[in-house]
Amino acid sequence: MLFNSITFVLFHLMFVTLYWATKSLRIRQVLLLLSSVIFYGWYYWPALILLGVSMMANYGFSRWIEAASAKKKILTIGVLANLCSLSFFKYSAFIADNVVAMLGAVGMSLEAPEMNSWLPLGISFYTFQIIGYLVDISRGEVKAERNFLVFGVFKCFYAQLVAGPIVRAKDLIPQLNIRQVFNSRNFQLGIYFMLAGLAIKICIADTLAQFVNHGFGDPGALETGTAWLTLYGFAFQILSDFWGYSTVAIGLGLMYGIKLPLNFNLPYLASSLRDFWRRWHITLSEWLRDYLYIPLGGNRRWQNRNLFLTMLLGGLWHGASWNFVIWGAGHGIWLALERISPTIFPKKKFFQWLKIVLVFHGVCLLWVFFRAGEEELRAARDLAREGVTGLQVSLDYFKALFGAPYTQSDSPPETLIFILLGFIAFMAFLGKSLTDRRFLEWGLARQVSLCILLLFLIIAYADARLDFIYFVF
Amino acid sequence: MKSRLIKFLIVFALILGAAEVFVRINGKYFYALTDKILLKVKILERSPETEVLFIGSSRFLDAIDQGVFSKQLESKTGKKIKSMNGATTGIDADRFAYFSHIAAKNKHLTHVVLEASPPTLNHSKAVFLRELKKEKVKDQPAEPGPAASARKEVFADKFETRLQTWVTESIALVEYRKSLRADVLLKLLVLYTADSIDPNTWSRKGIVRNLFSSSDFKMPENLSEKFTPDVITPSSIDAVPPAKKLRASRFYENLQVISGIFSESGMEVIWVAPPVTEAMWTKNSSLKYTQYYKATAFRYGSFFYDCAGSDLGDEFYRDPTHLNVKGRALFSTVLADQLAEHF
Repeated sequence: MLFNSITFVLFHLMFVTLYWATKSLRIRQVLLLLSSVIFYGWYYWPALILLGVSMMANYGFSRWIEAASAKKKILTIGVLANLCSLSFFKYSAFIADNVVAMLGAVGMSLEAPEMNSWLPLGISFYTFQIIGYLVDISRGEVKAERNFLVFGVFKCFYAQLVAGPIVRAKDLIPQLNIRQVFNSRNFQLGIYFMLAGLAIKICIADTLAQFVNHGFGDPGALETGTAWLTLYGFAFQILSDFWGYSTVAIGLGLMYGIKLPLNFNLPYLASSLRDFWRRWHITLSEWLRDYLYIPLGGNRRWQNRNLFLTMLLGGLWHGASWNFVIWGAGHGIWLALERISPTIFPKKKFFQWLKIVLVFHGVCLLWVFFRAGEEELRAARDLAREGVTGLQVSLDYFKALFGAPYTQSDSPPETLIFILLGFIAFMAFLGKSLTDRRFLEWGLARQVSLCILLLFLIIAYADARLDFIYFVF
Repeated sequence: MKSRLIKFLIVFALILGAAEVFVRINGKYFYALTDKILLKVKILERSPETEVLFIGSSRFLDAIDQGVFSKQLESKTGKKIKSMNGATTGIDADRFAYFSHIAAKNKHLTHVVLEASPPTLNHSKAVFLRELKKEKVKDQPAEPGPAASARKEVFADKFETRLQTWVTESIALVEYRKSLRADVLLKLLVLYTADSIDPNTWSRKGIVRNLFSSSDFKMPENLSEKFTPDVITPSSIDAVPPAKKLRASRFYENLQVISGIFSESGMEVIWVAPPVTEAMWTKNSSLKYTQYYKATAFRYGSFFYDCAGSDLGDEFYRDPTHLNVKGRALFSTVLADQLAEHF
């Protein structure tokens, strides 16, 4: 079920009403689990089988880890089981293709076997979330949840099941175990977040998507100016798409009285890549730090290697394509270089802004690999575009960015410029209200008019049912 | 604190309700904003005294300044004749015919000037014509994305489609949702200022320049000689034999149909081929098409002013097939001179 559909809005309102209508904690937990199950199986019910199996297995692992004396061994089994499941559904075809290619390079001709092509929705997110949970239990940071209903909701709460934020057990489970008291302020804030997130997704991301899809669909036809504008377009599309989703998720949670963590904090205003990752997909960055970077050695030893490996694997998590690996490696190398290089910019305001501009453009250039990787994943699902590789798309795109001569006829699409300016104005208007609770401090007139405006924008621009970008991952 | 939430929800619902009522009451205007041809229909309805109507594509949109044309016509005939440029960009046969059916009901309208050029001949799905009786067009359901189309339609899809249809049909705000878009909403201004500002100003390229360009135009001395349209009159039917093979029949039939709509209502239909640069004479086969127009004009007893071959010079064009501000003023003036004998 898509957040940007009428069905979902009615579905959510119905379950929220039922949730607050009952005072029984158990019934509320049942409602949350039931709604999440319906949400997940709405388009394709067989997906529930996988979800159910994963839920039961991980419930068992969590209890086993807690009870066992050799926690690490059981944890390893649990983590491997989850990674195997993720690899099978997400990376099997990628691995098979590359093995066949490597064997082919040494003279062994093999045909790639027909691998699974179904990618269960949100598998990357809930796998990471549950691995974090198992690790936390083994570290003794949380206790294994005994109530299967609560565990089930933690595993598949529909607000954040498909594309995050990745929630820690210590943050979510306690909220599910207490009978929430209706908080009108949270509820109101939830409505605002939900509307704002949908407006960002529908008005900005979906509109930009038309230009970006066109540009990356045939990068060879782009001229320099248009190529740069399209790249900026993608930078803002992926931000508004993912930020929009996360904001809706937080809003949905708040309407149930559940607080989910923030996932974005004006990332394109980062003055270094390190700063960028503190603002972009915050819950994933923290997950990578706590469950990958620190176990690898963290800051204690081989810090640069750890940074590189963490980002490399973080890149691979995004998708089964070499493009995501390159994208992650690029970030890893940049982070390592940033760590060892001396500060060259004075602390004056101008230079701070210059750094922001430079970081933004560096991030944009790496987005080329990311978006080209996404193009490869899209092409893999489209028989008419068989053979499209992310690396080729990236190469063509870089040629367009730097190789194509700027000509007089290279007039960038005016609409795209307007949309980009519109996005900046829109975000400046909503500003920090999406990262804190300042909406609640505003007067009633301001609150209502803003919400009405957002609703009108949603109604006006909700034309096509477009998936969120992160659904592919 | 609950009371604040209740107040918030009540005010929110009241405003939403009021907006719904407002859109329902003014549905015809919001409906008009959802498509460019509907906007033209509404502008024509608001100017019932219009006597001359231009219909065509972006070429006519750029070529005709209704103010200049009326002014020049007045200086030639001494009569105040109101004209309207009903041409729009991206026109197709369906919108063309829809507009013609509605315009033909206008009792003041005496002359219709039809653009005769390839863009006006595009075929399309007859969405507007099909809905003409209802005088209303329902929103077409959004095209499903590749993922959706590849998926077998299940209960969820059917349910969502039905729900979407029901909501669209029941709530005016949703039905006319396209008209709530910022760029579309601005068309309300176009509609309400149509009497004072040429409504076509906003849809032409170079809006700012168009807005501030003077409508006073002085004909360059040597240009009137160059600008001599090839005029085909119904009486000269013997002079130019009809083309033997009208291969573009599926195209010109659209123009015949539209001519017929106005002729049946007792209006005089004049065909005009707007000027194009010399480079386009052969490249775009404009002259080849012209032969078809001539032949068809004979059949319908219409006058045909072929200006496609007029050698104006590049300074009057913004691109090979569209006139610029200067070219518009020139062409509107010359055309008024040429057509004055019809009034």
